Amino acid sequence: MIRITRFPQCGLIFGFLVLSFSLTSLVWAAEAELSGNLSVFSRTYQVNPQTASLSLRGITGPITVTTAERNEIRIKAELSAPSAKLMDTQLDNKVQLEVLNDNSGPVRFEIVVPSRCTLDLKCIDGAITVNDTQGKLTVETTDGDITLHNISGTEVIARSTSGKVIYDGDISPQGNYTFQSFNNLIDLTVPASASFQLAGTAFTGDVNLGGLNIANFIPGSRKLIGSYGQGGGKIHLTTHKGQIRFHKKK
Amino acid sequence: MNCRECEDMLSDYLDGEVEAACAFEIEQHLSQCAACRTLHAELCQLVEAGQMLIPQMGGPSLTTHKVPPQKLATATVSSWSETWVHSFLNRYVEIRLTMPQFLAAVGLSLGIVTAIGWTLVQNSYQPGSVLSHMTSVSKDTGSQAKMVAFDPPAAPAQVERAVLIESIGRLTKSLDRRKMNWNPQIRRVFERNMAIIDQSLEECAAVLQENPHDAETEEMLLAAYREKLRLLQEFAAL
Repeated sequence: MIRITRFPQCGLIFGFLVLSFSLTSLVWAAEAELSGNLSVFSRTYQVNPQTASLSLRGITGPITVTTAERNEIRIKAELSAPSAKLMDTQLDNKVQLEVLNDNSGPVRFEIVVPSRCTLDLKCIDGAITVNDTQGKLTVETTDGDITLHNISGTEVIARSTSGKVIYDGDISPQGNYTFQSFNNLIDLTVPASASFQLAGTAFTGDVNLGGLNIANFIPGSRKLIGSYGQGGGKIHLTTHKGQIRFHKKK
Repeated sequence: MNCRECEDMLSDYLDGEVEAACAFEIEQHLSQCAACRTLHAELCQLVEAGQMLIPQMGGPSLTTHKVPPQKLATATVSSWSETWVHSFLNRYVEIRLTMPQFLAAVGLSLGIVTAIGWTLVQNSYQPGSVLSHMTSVSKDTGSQAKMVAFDPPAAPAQVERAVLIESIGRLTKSLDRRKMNWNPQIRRVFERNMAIIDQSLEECAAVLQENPHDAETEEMLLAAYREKLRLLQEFAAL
C-alpha cells in the first residue's frame, strides 16, 4: 500500500488537477452562455435618398426592409451564432452587405432605407419582407417567403424556389414585374385601375383571377397571356406547381 | 549496265531520247535481266494506256518521261518547267497538262475537299456530338453568339438548354465536393429545393416526350433549368 505521506507532492498534483478541471468547466459554461446570446451589428450609412442603393447577400435568416425619408440607410443585424461574419462596404451612395461565413446561424436583418432606394436582396434560407418602397427592387430567396407590401416601383423582380411570393402594390404602365415561385403560391394584389399585360407559364394552370377581367386569358391553359385595362405594364409570372392568385386592391 | 542504271534510263529509252549506244546497252541488259524486262513491259503498258486516254480528253498527247517504279503520283504543268518545283518533280513523274486540264483538275480537287469538309462539319454539329459539346463549353466562357452562328439548324431554346445543361453539370460537380462543408441546415435547404426543381424537370421532360412541340412545356423546362442554375450559383458562392 502506498501512503500519501511518503509522496507529499501527490497532494499538490491532485489539487492542481481539480483546480484545472473546475476552471475549464467554467470557461466552457461561459462560452455556451455567450453563444446563446445575440451579437448585434448596427450601422448607419449616409446616402443621397434619390440615388441610394443597397445590395444585401444573406444566407439564413429573415430580412425586413422598411422606409424612412432620411439621408441614410440604417442596418441592424442580430447574429445568432458567433461564427456569422458581416462585411459591409460603401461606395458613394451604394451600400453592400454580405454574410460571409457559410456555417453561420440565422442573421435577422432590420433595414431602414429611403423610399426611392434601389434594393437587391438575396437570401438562401429565410423570408424577405419589403414595405413601402418606390425604387427598383430585386428580391431572391431559395427557401423563404417573399412579401412585398405597398410597392410603387416600376421594376420589380421577386423569385423564390419553394416559398410564396406575395405582392401588394402598384402596376405602373411603364413597369416591368417578374414574379416566380417554383413550388408555391404567387399572390398579387393590384389596383383595380391598373393596366398591364400578362405573360408567363403556370404548369398546373391553376390561376385565380380574383374578379379581374383579363382579356384574352385562357382559363386552364399552361400559357399565361392576357391584358387588363389599357395593357401598359408587363407582368411576367412563372410557377410550376404553385397557384397564381390575383386580388383587386380595395 | 546494272539494274539501277537501267531503271534510270528506261523512261528516256521509251521516249526515244537516248543515244544509240545507250539504247544498245539497255537492250543488252533487258535481254539478261528478268526484273528489268518486267518493269519495261509495265512501262510500255502505261504509256499505251496514257496515249489511249489523252485523245479522248481532247488534249495533246501525254508523254511519260521518267517513271521510277516507286513514285507515280506527282504531276506538274509544262509552264512550270523552269521552276524549282519542276526540278524537284523531274526526279519523279512529269505529266504535261494543258491549262484547261490543269484548271479542271484543280477545280475537281477543290470540290472534293469542300464536299468532304462540309460533310464533316454537318455531322460534327449535330446535337450531342463531340464538337457540339465543345462549342457548348466555349459558350460558358462567353461565346454564345459564336455557338448560335455555328449551329443554324438548332432553335434558340435548344441552344439555351444545351448551354444551361453544360453549366449545371459543371457547377454540380463543383458543389458535390464542397457541400460537405456546409452546415446541415443549409445542406437540407439545398437538397430539398434541388429535388423540387429536378422533379419539375422530369415532369416537363415526360410531357415533351409525348408532345415534343409543346411550347409552354418547353418554356417551363427552360425556366426549371434556369432556376436550377441560379440555385447552384447561389450555393456555389457560399
